[in-house]
Amino acid sequence: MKSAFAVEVDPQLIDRAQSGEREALYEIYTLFEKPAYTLAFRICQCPEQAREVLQDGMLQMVEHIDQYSYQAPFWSWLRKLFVNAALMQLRRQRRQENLEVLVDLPGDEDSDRPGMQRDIASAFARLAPERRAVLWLYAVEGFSHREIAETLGYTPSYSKTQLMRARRQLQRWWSGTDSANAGDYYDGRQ
Amino acid sequence: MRVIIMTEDSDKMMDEALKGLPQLAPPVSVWREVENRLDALENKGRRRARLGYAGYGLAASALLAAVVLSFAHFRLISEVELADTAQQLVKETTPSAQYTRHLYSAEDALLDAVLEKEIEQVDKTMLYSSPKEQEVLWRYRNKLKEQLEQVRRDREDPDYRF
Repeated sequence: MKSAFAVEVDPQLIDRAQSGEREALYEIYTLFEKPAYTLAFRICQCPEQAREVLQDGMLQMVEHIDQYSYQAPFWSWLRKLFVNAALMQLRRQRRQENLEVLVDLPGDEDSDRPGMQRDIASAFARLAPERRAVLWLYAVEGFSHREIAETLGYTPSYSKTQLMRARRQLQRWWSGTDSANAGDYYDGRQ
Repeated sequence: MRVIIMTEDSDKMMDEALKGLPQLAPPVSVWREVENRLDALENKGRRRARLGYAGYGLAASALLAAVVLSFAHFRLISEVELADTAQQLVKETTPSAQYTRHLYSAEDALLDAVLEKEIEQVDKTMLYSSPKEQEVLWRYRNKLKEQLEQVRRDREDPDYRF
């Protein structure tokens, strides 16, 4: 299954957007609004922050779209902007502290989903922010460890370790073999 | 309770479950904010263009004056010849970067001073206003402050003008 971001965009539409045509920019906005918000929400686990990421990423897009040079698919260029915006949001949030809001967030958006989806969404939301980001980028967005390392500013082996730990935690929670307070449970403090 | 043995298969199963999570839509669109930024960018572009033309005109006048003086100093020439030469030079010459930079920084300094003065004025007015008026003034003040910060950020940004 491909990343929801992998939306092919007509080069003519990109050209029109690069020349500043507002309708073209809006068309691109509507194409990527949901994948971008989803990515942001999954990484930040907070609707307000996800909206901020969406806004920041879209502003970056309209300001820098003229720098896109067709060396990679447009969606991958754009996704990079949103991943960076989401990680920036996590860093900002860490600076502001009070990470406890990230713990035990069931995610209202998922509350009306079928049981299994809700379980995985809730368990995923409980992961520490960085592990969550690594797991999402690797498993869902298809990033390599090298790409994750470059994005996060760490080494590929750090990314591998985070992924392994994230998976282990998630499987315990998801399968119900671990209580919320045991082992690696993230309590929101640094 | 589900029991999961941690194997590559269970990793894949978990990845698939994550991929299968539904896409989410933002509760409110952010397109309006994006449009506001587009408006601001367009205004900035227009302002730059306007200043660019003004700079061109002023530089052309200065150049014409210099040409007249230097020609007059060395030899007497006909007015027609002088005008032709000057027009040719104006066509070939663009305003100097230094001159344009000077115009831009003067404009920014003026804007900075006006905004600062306006904020001072708002602060004074707030002292004698009702709570309701104060609320409005406070919002206005925040906007002025944002603009002022933007002007200052722009002035510090080496890529802003050139």
